[in-house]
Amino acid sequence: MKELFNRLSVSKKLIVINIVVVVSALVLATGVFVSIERTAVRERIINELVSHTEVIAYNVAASVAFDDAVTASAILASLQSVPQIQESLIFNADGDIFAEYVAVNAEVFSGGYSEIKSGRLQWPGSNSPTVVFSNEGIFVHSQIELDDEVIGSIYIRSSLAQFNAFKSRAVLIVGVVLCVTFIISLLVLSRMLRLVSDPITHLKRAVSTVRQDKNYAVRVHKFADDELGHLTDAFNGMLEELGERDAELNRHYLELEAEVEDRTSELQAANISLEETVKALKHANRAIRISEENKKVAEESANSKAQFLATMSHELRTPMNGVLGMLSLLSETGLTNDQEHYVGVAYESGNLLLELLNNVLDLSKIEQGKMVLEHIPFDISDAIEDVFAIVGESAYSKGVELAYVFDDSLPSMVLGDPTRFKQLVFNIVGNAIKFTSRGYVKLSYAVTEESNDVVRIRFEVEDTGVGIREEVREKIFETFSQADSSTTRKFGGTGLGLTLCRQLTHLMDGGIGVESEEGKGSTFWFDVSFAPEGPSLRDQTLNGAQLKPMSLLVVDRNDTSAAALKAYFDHYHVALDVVSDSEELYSTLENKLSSGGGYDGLIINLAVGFEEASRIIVSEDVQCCIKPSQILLTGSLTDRNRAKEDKVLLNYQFLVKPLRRRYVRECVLMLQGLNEELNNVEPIVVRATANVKEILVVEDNRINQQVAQGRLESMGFSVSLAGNGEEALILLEQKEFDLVFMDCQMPVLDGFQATRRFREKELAGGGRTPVIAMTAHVMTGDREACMRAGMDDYIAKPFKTGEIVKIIDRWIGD
Amino acid sequence: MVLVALSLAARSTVAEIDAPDKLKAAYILSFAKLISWPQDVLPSKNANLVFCAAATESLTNELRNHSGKTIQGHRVQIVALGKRGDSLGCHIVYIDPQHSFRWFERVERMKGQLWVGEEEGFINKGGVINFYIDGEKLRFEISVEHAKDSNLDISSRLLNLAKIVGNVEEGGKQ
Repeated sequence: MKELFNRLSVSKKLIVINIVVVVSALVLATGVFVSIERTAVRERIINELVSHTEVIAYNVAASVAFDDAVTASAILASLQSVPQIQESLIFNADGDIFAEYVAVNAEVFSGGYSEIKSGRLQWPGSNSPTVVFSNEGIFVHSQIELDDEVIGSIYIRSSLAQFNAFKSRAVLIVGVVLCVTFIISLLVLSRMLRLVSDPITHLKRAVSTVRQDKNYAVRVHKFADDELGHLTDAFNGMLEELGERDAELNRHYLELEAEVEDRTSELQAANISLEETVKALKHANRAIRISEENKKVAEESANSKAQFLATMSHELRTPMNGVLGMLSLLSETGLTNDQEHYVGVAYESGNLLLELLNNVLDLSKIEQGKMVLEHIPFDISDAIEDVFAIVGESAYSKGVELAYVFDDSLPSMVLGDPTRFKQLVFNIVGNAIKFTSRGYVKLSYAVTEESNDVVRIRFEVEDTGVGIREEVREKIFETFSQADSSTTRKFGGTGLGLTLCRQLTHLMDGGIGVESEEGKGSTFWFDVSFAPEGPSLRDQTLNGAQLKPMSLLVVDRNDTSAAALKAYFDHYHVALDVVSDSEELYSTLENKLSSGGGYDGLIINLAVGFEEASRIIVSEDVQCCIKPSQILLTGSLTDRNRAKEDKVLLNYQFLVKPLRRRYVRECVLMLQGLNEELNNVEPIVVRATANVKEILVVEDNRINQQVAQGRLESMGFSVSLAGNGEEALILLEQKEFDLVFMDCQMPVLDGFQATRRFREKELAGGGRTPVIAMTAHVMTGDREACMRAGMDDYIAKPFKTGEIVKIIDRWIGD
Repeated sequence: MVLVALSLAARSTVAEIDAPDKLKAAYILSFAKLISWPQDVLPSKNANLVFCAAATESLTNELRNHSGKTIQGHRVQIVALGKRGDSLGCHIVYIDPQHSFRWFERVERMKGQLWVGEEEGFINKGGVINFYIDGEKLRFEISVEHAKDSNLDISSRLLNLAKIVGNVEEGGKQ
């Protein structure tokens, strides 16, 4: 319905609205009118009928009174003149029918008077007649009175003819009125609607004209000054504007067209030149592409070269280990001096080669970004002392003093990569020793930055070597570069060490540099960052309360050595008085004694010479005042070995240089009488234990097998060999071993899998045999993989005797 | 009305009236309802409407049953005249045939008196309404002339039911 209405035009909508309004108003009005009229008509009909009744009642009263039925009937007959009256009855006082009238055309009425009377007609209390108006007719009952005495009653039944006539008339009138009104309102509306619809139609036509013909000159006539008139005005205004715009657009369009034409011709010209350019560019592009491809190829080849180098170095190390291992075994077989010398040279050369290979491997690792630093706690001083222990002999054998200026105020426990740090120190100190033929090499350090997150330490290695010319100072850190190619011949070395150092310091977020004066020496410095870990050294120092204050007398001609010694002893609150010769010694000692004091000990650096040292010891001044147990000798390992052959010096305690905190501490404790003997040399060879331990070495490489076997047998172990994991498992089933060395990478069954299976079998039997991984890849991930596989420890190849000893001590030591 | 008149006229009057006294009494009372008395005779509502009966004891008693009723606002009073001929104060006088011969000799009809009788020639003797039997029915005739003489106004409703007779000549009046 609503959709239908919506689809109508405005004028039709208005017509519909109007007609609905008019018709409903009219229907309402006529309805009210008809209902009022109906009531009135009904009233009238009833009144008429009642009056007829009353007239008859009046007229027949006498007849009733005098029992004159004939007259009464005659009177009733007069009702003929009222056609709608169908029937009339007169009753006497007893209620009997007295007279009767039935119209000629009377309709048959089923319900008789008696029924109506019993149901609806009542003798009223008052004199007024009773009227019943029903669909069956109109019934009137009235009393007949004579002089206020009721003498009978009259009943009249009338048809509804009159009322029906009225009804049909009313329907007719209403219908006619509605029709006429409808037509009239339609006519009027259609005339009046033009006032509204005409402007709209005009507007609509104008709009379609504008749309179709693009004719903006059209104007709409304004009919009236109402909303539609305003709309028309607005529309005309809009059209005007549109027209102007259109004209303007047209003008622009023409201008544009002209411009486009111009431009097109320009463009054509440009196009031609562009085509030429493109051609040239294409040529250039091809060239670029070729060069890019070349570059790619070059990069790839560089990459593969680096990869090749890394692989090769790695592969070379295995045979190298064999060579070195065999040489070291050979040297222990009781050779003649010449033979020993040859073996020594061969060993040194091999070592150099191995070092070179290691450096190449590390460098290529760094360059490929494969180097990942560890992050574990370690003691800086320990690390430095470890390095010094290794390089010490080479320095002292040349007569170069090697000193580590210990500073206990610095934090020493840090988080970092101890291996790489040692490598760094080793390379730089080693380098310094290499280029120093006399004088000293001294390492000192200082914290340059300290916070919660980072500790930056600057290390300085000062030497009194040949020095470096200014122009080559930076070049020395580049790959395969030394200050002078002739230097290589003279001093040896690969030239890779410093390069590696620079890379390592970069990895440790630091830098490296050198200050030097040619001929007078150099100072290499590097600074690296660590994360702080644990308390500073000072807290680990021996409690001062435990120690008596001591003073020692030192005979040392070398200031550097003396300074290093002083730094260490200072850490234990021990005062040192340094003298350079026997004269000074005696005078200092006398002064001390005369002033009532005394020294708690005497330290003699064997650098003063063995005879001089012996002379001092046996001199009266010393013998009188210092107990033999309070006399200490200091020097390199070589000095110590020589001293053992000396009749005099043999009997005295020895403090090995380079110094270590541990040695110094023991020394102090001994002097305090807390510790009897210094045991500052690490045992290199472990004596065979009572029960011969069974060790299984699982290794696919024959040479490595033999090296390991040789080493372990020389330590007094019984060694079995297996070529791969399968063989190892078979052997492990047959026999019970105390320890297993397991290579990780093996054919048939690798070390990880073999260990896993072995552990599964062990679970059933109980007990646990330690399995030590042997791996050439000393990477963090490898160790974790080993542990996951069920191995207990690991050792890096090539193994050194010291490390093997440590491992064995840890796992099967007593 | 015409028909009624004609039918009444066609019947001959019968001398003996054989109708119950009760009916006669009721008729007499009804006459009173349809007749107006002049003002001077019934001046106020307080005045009684006096019925005088010169009739049998039976009829008189029947009339007496109606005594105390109200007609046209006046109380009904019944007076038995007996052999007395004095009708002063009576509004309606009923004279039966046994009394009439004496009555008419002595008494002159007074103004405002309705004389009702039941014998042939009663009208001629000066009566206003006379009963007669038509078949089985008790009917009556009225002399309009005599009524006028007595200053009585008779309702047309009553006239319609009655046989109207003239003073001298008998028969229906057209």
